[in-house]
Amino acid sequence: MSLKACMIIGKANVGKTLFAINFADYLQVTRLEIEFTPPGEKTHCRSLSRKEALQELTGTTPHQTLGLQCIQIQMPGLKGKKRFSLMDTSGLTEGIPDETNIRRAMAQTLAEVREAAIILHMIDASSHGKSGAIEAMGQVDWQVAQFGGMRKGYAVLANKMDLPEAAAGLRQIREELPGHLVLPISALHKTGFAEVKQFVWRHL
Amino acid sequence: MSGGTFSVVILPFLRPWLACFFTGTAVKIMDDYLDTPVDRIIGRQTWAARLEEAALPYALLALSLAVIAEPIWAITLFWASYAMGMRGDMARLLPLGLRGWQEALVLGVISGLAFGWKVTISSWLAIFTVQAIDDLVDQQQDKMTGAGNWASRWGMVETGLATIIAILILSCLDIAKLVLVLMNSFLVLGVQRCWTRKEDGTRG
Amino acid sequence: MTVEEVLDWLEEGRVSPAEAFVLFRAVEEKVELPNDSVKDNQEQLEDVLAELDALIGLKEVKQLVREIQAFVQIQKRRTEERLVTEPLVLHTIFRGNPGTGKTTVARILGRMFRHMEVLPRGHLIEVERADLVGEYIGHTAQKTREQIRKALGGILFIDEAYSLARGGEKDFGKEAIDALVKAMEDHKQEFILILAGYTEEMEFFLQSNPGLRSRFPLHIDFPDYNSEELLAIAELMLEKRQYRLTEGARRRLALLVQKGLRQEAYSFGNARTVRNWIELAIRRQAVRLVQKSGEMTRKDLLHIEAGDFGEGW
Repeated sequence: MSLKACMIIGKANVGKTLFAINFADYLQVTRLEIEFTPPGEKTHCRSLSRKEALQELTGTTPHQTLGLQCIQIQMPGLKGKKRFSLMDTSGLTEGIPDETNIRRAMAQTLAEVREAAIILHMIDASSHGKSGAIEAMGQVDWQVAQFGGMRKGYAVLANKMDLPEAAAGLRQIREELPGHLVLPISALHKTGFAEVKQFVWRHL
Repeated sequence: MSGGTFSVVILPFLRPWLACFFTGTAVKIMDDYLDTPVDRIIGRQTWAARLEEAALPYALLALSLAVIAEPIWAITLFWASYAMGMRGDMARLLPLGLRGWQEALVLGVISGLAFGWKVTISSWLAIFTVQAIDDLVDQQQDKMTGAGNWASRWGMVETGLATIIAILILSCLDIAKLVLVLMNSFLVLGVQRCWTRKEDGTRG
Repeated sequence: MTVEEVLDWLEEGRVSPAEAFVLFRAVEEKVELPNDSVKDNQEQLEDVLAELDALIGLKEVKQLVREIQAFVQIQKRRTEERLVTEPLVLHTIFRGNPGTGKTTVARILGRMFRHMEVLPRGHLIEVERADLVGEYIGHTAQKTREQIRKALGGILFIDEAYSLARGGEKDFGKEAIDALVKAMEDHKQEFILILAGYTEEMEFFLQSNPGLRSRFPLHIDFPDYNSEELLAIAELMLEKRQYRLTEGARRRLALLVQKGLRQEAYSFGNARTVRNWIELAIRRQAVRLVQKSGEMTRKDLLHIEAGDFGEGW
């Protein structure tokens, strides 16, 4: 039986990969066995420490992730453990990007999203009011929420809560996406991870 | 009120009443303790959130008081709550090596053999009724947070019908238990609400 | 409509991710698209034109695209009124150096024509010589037909199209041109062909293939950006990525741009080179910040300094 997938989805530069690495660390994964699947190519597996993964896979430029990156996790919780695949995906864009590789990577993300048991939709809460920024909440976030709302196991992760603008951003996210569970987190400082863990646990 | 009336009318109800109240308190604290992370996000005020790490000893204390008052009621009601609390894990292998449904079955059989089948079945039906009503009321919220919910799984009408059937059977088996369990469920909720609101006021 | 189709459209650049999610919902719910979830063609056309206007520079290109839009609009209206119309042939030649916005404008044209209901899909299939020219007799026609098939309903954009005429009479490139000409006959109105490349080479290419010139009524020239425009493009790129330039960095970038413009136009990649500089500066800023001792502030994270553009440039 294939593992249930917990997919992290969201716009480019909102912190999806940083969250995936730090959440795996929070769930006591000491070494990350990451399966990389670039669009249209075969899967290859690499073993990285948290530090190596942070250095190699995260950064400040958008579209660092162009393909699927899966980490198998055995999550300790109430009465035992549950296994799942934490799936990091390529960032979504507001319009149609010029780069073919970005469009292919986004199509790959969307091909998987329908199969995922859990969708963690990440929004940059600190980008509130910066409509020009690539990571600012936009139409695509609203549409992801509409799609996610049709199924079980959908939650919004309001990331970058460590930044001062994020409190206002969180209020805005809650106002614009009513009826959805919005979990405030900081992928960088690992805050709010207990809530995410419980949400994931309940849907496995 | 004469002493005769107290011993004849009140006393036979006082012990089961106390057993119901304290078992309900213990179950509520335990249940909320496990749900604390997500409850905090959706702004639900609970004893467990206030008690934090102290929730476990206080829950045990409440259960021991229930056992002093009326051991058979206390234990059968608590075991019924324990079994129904596993509804999301029925097929999963738990740390004792049994699956959820097997643990529940073993508890039911031990309870039936030790305390009698009538008291066991009435306790399980009483807890089922309370849980089903709770699920009907909280269906939307549970759907959002991913908490186990019969109304989400079976449908509102189906759960409503199952609740009515349980109430009818229970009223034939032990109407006093039906009244006391329902009454104390609301009482526990009421006391908790007053207490957390008062705490809010003093802190605010 | 199936999920696979939606994914293809997303990959081909016909729909944005947001639109793909709307279509996904429609597939899952097996319902017609609700009117309020998808903008109508007129609104979407306005969005596309606004996107065109937001491009920096390209004044003549914008003007010409507006003219094409007006022409198409009037021809469609005349058809409705049963008046004589010009045939709607929209195959185009794009002339200009690399990084002058040709692909971006081609994509905008595709979407514009879709919302004007000239093209049913309006996607862009971007190919170059290697995608069309094969290795043995018959292979080229097969490869070219395959690309045309993919482009039906949208735009086939051939970058550095002059290279198809590179090898003379015996080259398979000639076979590709023949296949393209045939497809333009066989699939009239079903797709638009855009041939793009350097100005002089494209001129030579059309001269050596006189049959081609008459089939391309539209010619758009993409001039090189001037230094102000390139700086504005750089600032926009940085703003989108949430970075800012310090005063020193702005001066350094201006110098770089001026130096680049003094080079031969062929070797200076216009906006593409500026984007590479920006991306390099962002990576260098990251290295600088990681190596820096002491606390990293938000200001540090935001600002690109002169040194991030390199010392030796």
